[in-house]
Amino acid sequence: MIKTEKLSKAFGSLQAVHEVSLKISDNSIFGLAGTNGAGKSTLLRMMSGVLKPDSGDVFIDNKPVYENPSVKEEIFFLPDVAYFFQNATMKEMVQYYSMYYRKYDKERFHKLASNLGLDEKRKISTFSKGMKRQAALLLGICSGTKYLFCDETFDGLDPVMRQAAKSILAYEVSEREFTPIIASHNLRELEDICDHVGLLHKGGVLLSKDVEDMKLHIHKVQCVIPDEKEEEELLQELEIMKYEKRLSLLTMVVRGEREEIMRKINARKPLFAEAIPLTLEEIFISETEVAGYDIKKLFI
Amino acid sequence: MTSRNYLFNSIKENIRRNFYLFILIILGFLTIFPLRTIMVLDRAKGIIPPTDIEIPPMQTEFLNCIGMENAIATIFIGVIAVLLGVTGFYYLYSGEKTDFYHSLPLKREELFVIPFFSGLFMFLVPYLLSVGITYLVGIAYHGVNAQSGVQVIAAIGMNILFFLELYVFAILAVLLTGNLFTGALAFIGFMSYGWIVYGAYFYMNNMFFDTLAQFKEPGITKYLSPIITHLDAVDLWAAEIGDIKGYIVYAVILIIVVLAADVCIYKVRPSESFHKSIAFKKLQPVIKVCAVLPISILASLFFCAGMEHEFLWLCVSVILLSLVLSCVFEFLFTMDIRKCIRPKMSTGVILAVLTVLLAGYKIDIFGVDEYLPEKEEIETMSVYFPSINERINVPVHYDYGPDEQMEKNQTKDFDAIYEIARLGVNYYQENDKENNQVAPDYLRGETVWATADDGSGTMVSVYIRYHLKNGRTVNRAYYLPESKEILALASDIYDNWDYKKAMLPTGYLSEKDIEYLYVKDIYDKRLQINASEDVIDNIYKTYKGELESMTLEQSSKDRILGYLSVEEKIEENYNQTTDFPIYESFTKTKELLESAGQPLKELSADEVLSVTVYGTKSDGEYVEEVITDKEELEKLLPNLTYEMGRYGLGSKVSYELNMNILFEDRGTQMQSNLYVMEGEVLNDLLEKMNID
Repeated sequence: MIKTEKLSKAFGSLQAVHEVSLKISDNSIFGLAGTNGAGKSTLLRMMSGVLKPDSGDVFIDNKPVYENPSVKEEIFFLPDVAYFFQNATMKEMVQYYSMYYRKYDKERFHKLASNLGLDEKRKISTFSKGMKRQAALLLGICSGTKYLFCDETFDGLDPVMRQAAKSILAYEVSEREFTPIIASHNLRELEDICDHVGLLHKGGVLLSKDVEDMKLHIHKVQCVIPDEKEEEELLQELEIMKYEKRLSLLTMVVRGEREEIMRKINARKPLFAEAIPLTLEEIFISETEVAGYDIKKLFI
Repeated sequence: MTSRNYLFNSIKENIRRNFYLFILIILGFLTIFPLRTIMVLDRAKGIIPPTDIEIPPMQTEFLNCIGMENAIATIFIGVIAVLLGVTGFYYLYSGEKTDFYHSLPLKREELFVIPFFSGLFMFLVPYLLSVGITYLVGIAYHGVNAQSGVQVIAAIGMNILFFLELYVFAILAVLLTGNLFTGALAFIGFMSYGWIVYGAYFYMNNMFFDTLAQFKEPGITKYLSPIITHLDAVDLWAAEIGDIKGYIVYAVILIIVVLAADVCIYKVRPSESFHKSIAFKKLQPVIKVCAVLPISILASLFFCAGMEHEFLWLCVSVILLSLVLSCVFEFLFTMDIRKCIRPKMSTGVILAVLTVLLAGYKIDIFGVDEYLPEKEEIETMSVYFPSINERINVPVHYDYGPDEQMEKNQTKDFDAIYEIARLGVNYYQENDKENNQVAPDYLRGETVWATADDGSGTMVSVYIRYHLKNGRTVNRAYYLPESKEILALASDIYDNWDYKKAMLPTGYLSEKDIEYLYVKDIYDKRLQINASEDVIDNIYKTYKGELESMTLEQSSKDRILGYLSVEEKIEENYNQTTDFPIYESFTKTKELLESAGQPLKELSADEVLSVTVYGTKSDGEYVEEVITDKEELEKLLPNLTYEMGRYGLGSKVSYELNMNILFEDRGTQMQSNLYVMEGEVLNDLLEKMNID
């Protein structure tokens, strides 16, 4: 398990991360969402032991990370721009990493590279941007580490490859003790893979929740209740996070079980009622507005 | 780790990735050592060696190629030390590379060790390999002799030390900075900072203090820059005149200290320092203050040297320059032109320190120029009169500077020296303090006795050294009028046997050293004394006795009639001649010379056709008087003296008139070094020529 306690880091006068406290459970895919400059990369760098926090602590499996090789052996950090040695091939990079990561799975790397059509003996410098991303991801996945920190890893991947990458990550999580932490500014990209998402804003955590839990317990509902009194009673009855009325059409984001919400609406004899699936982005917007933030402009 | 030898494997991998550099280094060393040696030795084959030389040219050339005198090798080693130091840790200047390396499951110490030893290996292997091949080349060309092994081992040791010195400093420069430009500046700073600080200190002392003297560079100056220190050590080794153990100890300590600093700094260096000027933000003001202060002082001192209002110019230029440099440093730190001109605390500190420094120097806050310790604080004192000591001919291969002399003539009976120091301080307080140009700079470290610029009379320069009981040694140079009091004190000092023993040239040369003895007479002829060794020994011993028993007063009155030229053998095929003055009162010496068949001739009016006396009036008009009258000549000639070797202090010689002598046979004309002694004859001549 990864645990950060009041983690802070400043670069000069810029407070990149401010008292971030997070818990990331093992064997889940954690999404770290946030706008550019929210502190995602800095947080990942601190969690991977690259940066030393100004204050606060990072514990991985209850051990501090910074300058702790035994813990770092269980972490592989994939930065936003991955570094490969000049003129190196993927094979050489595998060779290099395998000196430091004792569980490095060369066989798996060979298989995955072959499946993705990446030539292990070709110089990485001749790869396209997307291919370099794939190569970096494969190098990280095959390191055999328990944790994989991915910073904007899906950026630059085509949709097919993005899906493939997600599948590989999901497969790894299902097959072994593996916890990828994926930082991205794109919530849509995280929603179909992450079990849990944390939202960073201006160096702090706005919220951190389980995706399924959010999806199951928050719903967007549209309905038309002919009786105004009934409508008022319904609004009292539901746990509404967001509410909007255009003419007679009520649009609400409501917390609660879908069936329970629909039962309550149907009891008011609506002319029309339906539950629409919420995107993660919409859930986040609603949640953060409840928390008092005008989050819309962060993603629009 | 997958392998117990992961560090070794990492080093191997690191070298493999920098293989192009490794190949270049190998090629460089092969060119500098074996290839060049083959070319040089092949050329040396054609040289026909002189019969009297000890070492054949082939062996000399071989040592020049493989030894530490090989300047090209020194430069190349220096360059690759810096190159390897920078390339090994260059990743710290890149965010992506820093992320990559610092995310690996390695401790910082291990991350340091990998590029450090890779660089060391990439130097050592090609270097040792090329030296080995060169040695084989030397054997093949018969360039190797019994000493070659020692020379080669010494050269290897010295070159490795030199490499390591620059290597650890280059690494330190990279670790402390965040980009190549500031890294290069940092390295240049490490190599030159000691000299900059020392230069600022030395020239400030020189400008502000009139009596502070320094007769040799302090020992610390040898160690102010690793490059200069190494070159000094190589010179010492090549000239076989000094011990380089001190350098070796210094280099080893320096390497250990800087290497330890490298490791410690690497451990705490923030990973986010890439692209920044200085890796540690907190160090920025410290670096700025430490750099701006000496640089602005030194540059301003050079700028305002010789200006009429030197102090004013210094103040203005120092302040302006420090402000400009402060902005430059701030710009380097922030790369923001607006930020660099904002007032900073560090700039305030710089200005405050400069103000205190300049004010302190100006008012001589520590009383440097008026320094006169209590007698109870003094262990011994020594004195050096340029007007005596520097007039003496001492064989050139002896160290006979003010420093050596004052080390030799230390005395516990220093009342007379102390009194001179007191007079010097008093004179400074009364005169020089108001006009700090009275004692010009050149009087403080080099020659001289001279007439005061204002023509007020003869001035005497005296160097004093206090050896204090607390172990300190303090030097002062005073410049004061030649008064009876000074002359009496100088006589007290000179007439003391201990002083003479340390100062007189005969103390350096024994009769056993004499190869040949000559007499140089008034006709400027150098005539060899062809006599037995005993006779020569006797002449020299007698001369020595007469010189050593002569008082200062007597030396000032006596004329110098000629010289005893002593030729001694310094080494094979190299002799050295030293001229010792023969005073007119040295009757026993003169008698012995006569009996040895080489009498010291004096000028006779019968042999002289004319003497042309010339001088300059106070208004600058040149005057000349030709004396042909025998009666006048008979009066003049016994008043002439040689000048070389004569003490200036209390001298009874007039330097107002010069003369040319034309001999009767008209075949010789002598533009003489002869001067007229003070007295009636001189006064008559000056009157006749209307010289005041």
